[in-house]
Amino acid sequence: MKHEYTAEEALRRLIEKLTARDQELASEVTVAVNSGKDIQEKERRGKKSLRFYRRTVPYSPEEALKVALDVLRAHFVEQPLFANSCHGNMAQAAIGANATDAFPWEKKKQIVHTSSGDEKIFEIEVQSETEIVSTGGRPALQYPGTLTMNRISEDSIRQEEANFSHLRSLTDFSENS
Amino acid sequence: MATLNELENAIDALLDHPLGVGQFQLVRRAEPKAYEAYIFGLCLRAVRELNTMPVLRGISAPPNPFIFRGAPGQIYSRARNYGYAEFAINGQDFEIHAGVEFQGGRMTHELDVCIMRAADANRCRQQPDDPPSASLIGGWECKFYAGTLDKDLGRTFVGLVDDMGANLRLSGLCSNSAHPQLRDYFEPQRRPYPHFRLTPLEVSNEAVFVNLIKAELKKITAS
Repeated sequence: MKHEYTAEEALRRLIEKLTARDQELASEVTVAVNSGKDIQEKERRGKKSLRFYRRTVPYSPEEALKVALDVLRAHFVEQPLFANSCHGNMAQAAIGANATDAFPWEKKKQIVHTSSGDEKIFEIEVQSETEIVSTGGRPALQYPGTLTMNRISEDSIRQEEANFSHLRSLTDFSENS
Repeated sequence: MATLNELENAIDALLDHPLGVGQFQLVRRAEPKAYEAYIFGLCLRAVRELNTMPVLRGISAPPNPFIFRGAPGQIYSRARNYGYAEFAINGQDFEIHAGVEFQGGRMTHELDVCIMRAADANRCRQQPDDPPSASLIGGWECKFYAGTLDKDLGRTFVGLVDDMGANLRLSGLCSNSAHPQLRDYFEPQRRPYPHFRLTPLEVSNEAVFVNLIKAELKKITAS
């Protein structure tokens, strides 16, 4: 495919648009893009002997685009899959009573809900038990204590995957080289 | 010819999708812990594949909802109704925890996800204390990284495992990301297993993680 734009320009547009929406995410992408990659260099010594050494070099613009999209994919596609996977595995566990009973043989009798396959609700604590001041400067109590992790529809994940595929095809410059 | 307009539309579609920037802003504070929850779920799967039903419990009440800790904490803490799972194989009771602190050789350590002996967990809930490292069967450091994995994490976890002593039969650094040098760093014996690219997108890596747990639990409970 021929392009009306270069890889550098595509990367710049992506980061500009990201910055306009969320600076924190944009800087995370920028850090990843700027981290470079390790390559093995070789140095010839005399006629036959070769010496190898590691060197960190910048990504090419094409590679940097791929790195940027990988970072976004981790957030937009992998994260929903983590929640869905956890939901799937928890659904097939039973729910028991609380842990206050000292003896395991008593606890075993107290399974209150054994039907595996039922969806369970799970939450992640976003205000830890020792947190009194949030990192953003606001009192921690202004945040909800926990965040419910809902199951994400497979269709929605597939759509976003399709968006990634489309953007990857538009930023594939391999035929140009 | 791919036009600039097409490129811009494709970027907008990606970022403005319901799972795009908006969803990220909603869940960003929970993202690292969501990865721990995923690994916790894989431990449940390993138990289930041994034909054992794991049971979800809460410290104070039935776990509805099931709450994952947002920061390292004590196993006996009732600040919230923190969840954990228990299971029994061949008459031996075990528990799976997330974000619990343990006694190490010289200081306490947090394990993102672990499998431990239920008797020790129960004792530490009854008489508040951090469980000893000897109660551990397996412990995993879980790192969600959108970019390349940080080398420091490997060094830190190797130190933690060393301080935990020889009772920790299974240990690993789990991440959706990878680092080529860290894989080499983990090669020597007694170092944690590099569970890199451990994500639902890599089914074979999930199978390796689950099978290692299954094999160890079978070995421990065989006699």
